[in-house]
Amino acid sequence: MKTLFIILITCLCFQISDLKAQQNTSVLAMQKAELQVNGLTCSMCNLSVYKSLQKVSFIDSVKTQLNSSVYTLTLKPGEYIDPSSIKKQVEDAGFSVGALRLFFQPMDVALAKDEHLAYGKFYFHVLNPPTSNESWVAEIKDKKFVSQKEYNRLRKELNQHPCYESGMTSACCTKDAESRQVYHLSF
Amino acid sequence: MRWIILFFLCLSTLGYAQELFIFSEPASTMPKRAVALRINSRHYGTPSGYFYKINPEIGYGLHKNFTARVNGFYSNWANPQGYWDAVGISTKYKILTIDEHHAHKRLAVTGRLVYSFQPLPMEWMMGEGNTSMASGGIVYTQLIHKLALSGKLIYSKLLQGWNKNHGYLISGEVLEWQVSSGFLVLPIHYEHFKQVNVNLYAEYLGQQNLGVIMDERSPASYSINHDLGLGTQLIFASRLTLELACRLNIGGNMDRPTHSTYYLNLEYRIFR
Repeated sequence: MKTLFIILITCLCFQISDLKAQQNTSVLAMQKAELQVNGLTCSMCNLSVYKSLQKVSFIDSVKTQLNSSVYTLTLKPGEYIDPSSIKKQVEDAGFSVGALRLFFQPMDVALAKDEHLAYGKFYFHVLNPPTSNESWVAEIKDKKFVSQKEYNRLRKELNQHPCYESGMTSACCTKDAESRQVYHLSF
Repeated sequence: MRWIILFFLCLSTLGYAQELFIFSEPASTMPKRAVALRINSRHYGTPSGYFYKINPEIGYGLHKNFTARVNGFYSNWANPQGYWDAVGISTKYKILTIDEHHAHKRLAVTGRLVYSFQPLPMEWMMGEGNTSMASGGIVYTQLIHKLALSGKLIYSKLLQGWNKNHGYLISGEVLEWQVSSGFLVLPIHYEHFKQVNVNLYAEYLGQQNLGVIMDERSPASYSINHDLGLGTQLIFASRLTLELACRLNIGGNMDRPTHSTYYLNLEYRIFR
């Protein structure tokens, strides 16, 4: 009886510690992502991007609309999207990211401009908060996720935020001692 | 020349563009770690009879911007029984990429080395393993609206392998230029990877002898050659490519054994 009691207490402790870990990291939940690939002109090119994306460890499935060169990515349960890995796979296939749209689960909180959200190993810097609480779709606005012209415009506009050019958290972002990669979102 | 330009302009109004050219090559490189297994066959009808050249090739995407290909050449030019007459390596490095939605601009530099076991040099530098040669070039590809246009400039130099007893003109150095155009006929709308793609290509291939004499009995020659390449390409399951094409001499004064070459090529692409 005593042994059974100890086992039950131990299991309960593990459950509580797991729950705490989830609460600490799961600030944002993502349902899927849509990737627009630029430079594609043929089905063989589309296939090379499709095969390249299938190799990404955190992607569960890839669906593509060949006519529009849009790829819908669903994540494996418990995994976080890594935009840099997606960009690398697209570039290795010989093409470029046109846009990466992230579909988040809306939360019961209002996001503010320049708010920072922890997501996996990264931070998301909210450039433009969502206008509705029903749909939280955001585009990444960092270098190589937008056109060079758009990047140059944003770099001038966001000159108060050195994190935009460096891609790393800085004094403008957070009081955290640890510097982390930061992506800039526009909902 | 005027009707060639007109032909390229007509293509621009016909459909979507593709740039997997048959006679030339685009500035695009292969995806990283992708493998292309290719077998080219060329067929020549000459006054001396029928000749062929079979050219197996393995291509590999070493880097997103760098592709290398190794080639072998098997023919019956010097021996009716057939023989391996040359090996070669070619490389391409992409130095500029500007991608837009359904469009791109690319610039690449290319290099090529061919070693021929039984050199048969001539004034027309075929670049198909009949001579040992080194080449370097630059290629620019752009999609302008619905027209895929590619331009290539190549300098080629004959390396050893000439025989002063040939008694006919041999080009020692040649400048080549190529203008290529292609468009997609089928499918009208892309729906899935299994659809058969049908592409048509028209390419203009020019060549100028730079006047270097390899045979001291030959006069210096600055001869020129103009060819038109026309071909169709079928792509199955976005992996297997079948090409049927012909290359026709349309002008110039270069000495060459044949005025028409017919192509049958097959390529299988492995994405890794």
